[in-house]
Amino acid sequence: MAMASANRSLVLLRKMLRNKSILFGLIVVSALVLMAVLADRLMPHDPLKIDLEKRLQPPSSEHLLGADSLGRDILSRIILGSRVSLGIALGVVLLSLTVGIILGTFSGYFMGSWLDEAVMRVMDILMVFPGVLLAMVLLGVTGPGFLNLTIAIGVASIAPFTRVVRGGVISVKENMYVEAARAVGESTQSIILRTILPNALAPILTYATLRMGVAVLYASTLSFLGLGIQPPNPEWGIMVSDGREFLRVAPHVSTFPGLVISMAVLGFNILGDGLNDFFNPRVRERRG
Amino acid sequence: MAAMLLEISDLRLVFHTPQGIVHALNGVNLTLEKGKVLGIVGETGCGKSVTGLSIMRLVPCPPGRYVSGEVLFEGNDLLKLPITEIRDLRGREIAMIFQDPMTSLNPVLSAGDQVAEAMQLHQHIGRREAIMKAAELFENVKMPDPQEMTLRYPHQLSGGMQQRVMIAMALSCKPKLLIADEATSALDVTIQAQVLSLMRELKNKTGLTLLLITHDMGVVAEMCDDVAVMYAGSVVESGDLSEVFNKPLHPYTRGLLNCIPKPHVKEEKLPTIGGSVIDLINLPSGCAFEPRCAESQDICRKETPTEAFVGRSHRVRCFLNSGS
Amino acid sequence: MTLQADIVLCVKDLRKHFKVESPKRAIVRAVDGVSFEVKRGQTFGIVGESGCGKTTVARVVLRLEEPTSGSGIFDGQEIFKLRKSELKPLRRKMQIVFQDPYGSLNPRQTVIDSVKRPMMVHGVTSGGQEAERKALELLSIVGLNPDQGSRYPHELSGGQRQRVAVARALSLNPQLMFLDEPTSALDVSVQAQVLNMLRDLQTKFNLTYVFISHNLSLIRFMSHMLAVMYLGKLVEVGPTESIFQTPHHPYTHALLSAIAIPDPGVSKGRPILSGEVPSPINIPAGCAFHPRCPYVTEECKGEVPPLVEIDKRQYSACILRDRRYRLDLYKRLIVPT
Repeated sequence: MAMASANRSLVLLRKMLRNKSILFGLIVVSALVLMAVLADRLMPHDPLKIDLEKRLQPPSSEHLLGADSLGRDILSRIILGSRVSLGIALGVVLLSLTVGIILGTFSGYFMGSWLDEAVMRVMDILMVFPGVLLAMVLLGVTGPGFLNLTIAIGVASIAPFTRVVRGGVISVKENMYVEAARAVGESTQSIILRTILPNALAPILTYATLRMGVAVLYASTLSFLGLGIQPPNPEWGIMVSDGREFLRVAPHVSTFPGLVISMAVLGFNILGDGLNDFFNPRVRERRG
Repeated sequence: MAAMLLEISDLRLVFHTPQGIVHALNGVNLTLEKGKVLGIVGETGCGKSVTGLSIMRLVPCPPGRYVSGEVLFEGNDLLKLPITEIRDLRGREIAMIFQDPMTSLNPVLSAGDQVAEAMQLHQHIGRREAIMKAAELFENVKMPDPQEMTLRYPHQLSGGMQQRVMIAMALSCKPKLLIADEATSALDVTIQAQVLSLMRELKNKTGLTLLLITHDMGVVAEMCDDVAVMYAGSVVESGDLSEVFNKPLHPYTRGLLNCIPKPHVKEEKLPTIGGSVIDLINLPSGCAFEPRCAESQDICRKETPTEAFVGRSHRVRCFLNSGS
Repeated sequence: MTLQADIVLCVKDLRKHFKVESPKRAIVRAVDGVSFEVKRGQTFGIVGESGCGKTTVARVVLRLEEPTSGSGIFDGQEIFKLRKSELKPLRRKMQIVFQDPYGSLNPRQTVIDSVKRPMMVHGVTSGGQEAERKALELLSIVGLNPDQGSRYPHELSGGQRQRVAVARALSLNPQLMFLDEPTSALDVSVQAQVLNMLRDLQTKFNLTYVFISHNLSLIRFMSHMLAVMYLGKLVEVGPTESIFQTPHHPYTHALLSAIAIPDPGVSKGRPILSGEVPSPINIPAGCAFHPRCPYVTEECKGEVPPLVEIDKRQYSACILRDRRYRLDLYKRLIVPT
């Protein structure tokens, strides 16, 4: 039986890879992950090494993507920066996903109860604030830094996750096989964990993927504003901010990190879209 | 020979899908006389709905492709007409109603508006006149309080009422042919009886020709003059209703008639047709029904039977009945 | 009605009312005073059109919904008095096969897992191995190949899925099985196979069924006793054959004459019941059927007629209880005798 399920996973994987969006998204995301993991080996230069003689140098054979205002190698900083961005994105999604699943599952399963109402009202209040603004307020209280940034963006992402989980749970709950599990005598806990959640996984996973892209964007935005990662740590958002003054003379300083941010977000978005299409095919039921 | 309103000859349709080529229609032959009622009956996958959709050219091509055959409506091959002429034909000459009226009706338009729309389009009349005619039509389809009904929205109507709206819409431009695809299958028993009785009355009053597509042999027996039994994309038996029901020649027809529980006799066991419906992608060579047929012979596996005439209008596609 | 050893289920005056928000605080009387008995080894059929409450009756007896009032004695216990925490042992003895073969199986569980699950939940086997063995046995009892066990529901046909649902329901050796329109989503040839199988299983294992359907022909084939429901109430109850030969209640007449019979020799002209099935929110006063009844009298609009025995074990809720009718489905005649 174990062999059968392993085989099935392979078949599923192969089917998923046939979807062009998933394929493209996976390639981009994998590239980023590889960059982050193998950063030490990939970086041609020390990302923190200041070399004022080379400052604002355009792309050359020595500095493939040029040098920034302090002569640091942009390529190396981008590579190391991926570790920061992806790390934050992962942390954010893990945090908000966990909280979102807990809140959303209870809210959805007990739809209409006081618990559901209470959770939803709290989420409504949270969603009044634009995510970035909410994170800014939190960062104002806690101060900047990697961990604080992760927590701030994570908290700002809880409300949308809770809604998506709740929606998924509600729609799965309406299926007859959930009724069937009740009729068999399964406990509520068992039904939620073994029947509902596995079937609601698809929209949740899809949303988590899209949220990774959003997290990268938020992290960059907040660091750009000086509220997130602090210099001299390399982070794509700070790099864009650093290059602002020199846009006319040395556009590459802001442009390259900017492009990488776009690519990362695009990659996650396309992967998320592909997953969405994959899990929700337009099935046309025809009777004869 | 009376005037043939509709004549389908050797219609073959395939669908190109990622799983393979689906042979949806494999040489369908049908004739429908003006003013008569023809029932196409069969189970899931037999091709009855696709046949109806083909008449209206509603089958998406691609992924569908008509390999051969003609659909002659009053002598004109509908498959060869340009799309503009087909659109003109739809609603005006040929109308179609479907199984679930709730999804066929626009939820944001009132019932009267929807019926009026069709008339405004084809008859070039103004909205006010069209709504008045709509109320008249609602009266013809026996809706209580027709004037008030024109103002109601689909969700405010019961299933039976919604289906009457569909019928009114279909008949608004006085088509020559009405195709009903499982039109009463989703209705309660007593409501189905009402709608069928209404359809029969309308047919008698206006000389409408009806094509009923259904899986329900009871509906066929009630309503139809002629019947065509379909399996795996072809018509295995067709002809006059009484002849086919009383003297079924094809083993599938016999199987179908036997396996339905009948309300007027007490049965001990239902005779069944063995096996399950075949895969339209991998059609067996030879007769498509052979794998499930209790009376099959060697030749049935090797060759596909052609249609043979048995009696005036009774046709059968079976080696047990050819030539003898 | 004292509870004899061969009565599996005895329901008395069951009511289930739903409150709805719109229109303003109305009450839907889905089940409004239903009483019946189910004998062991037999099939009790409940027939009616949409909105009559037949599915709700099943759901309330199974405690998937809470009753508004009424009593139900099953296996010596008053099941409506059990607390939620005491329901689990009850679930072992009462099972249900749902209408929709495409939705009632967990898409993420293999067939064998679906069939094993009830046994694992109730701990009736001494471990996974035994449960697996029993599940395979059940699969072959319902006519499925044992290697279908490792398949997922989407790989099976509708008829096969329903067989899995039956195997799952049988796995706990329930005393009572509810079959809620188990074949209405299936093709007629598959339907015949599944119905034959259900009847065979009943004979072999002395199973007791409550068969719910809107299709009178199926009901005649499957059930020994029959109850006709209209807007939450039973209008006629009795042995199936008696009802088919001498139906009493006008609604039963309407249902019987509305059937489309697959025989061209049957007369086409017949009285068609007029009017719509009223909504269970606006139940007419007196006899709920009176607005559509061809035999209506002034009295009918007054009080709700009770179910009264009009013949041997045949009960009808029509005040014209002295009238007798004979049904000739072939000629579509309901002849007063």
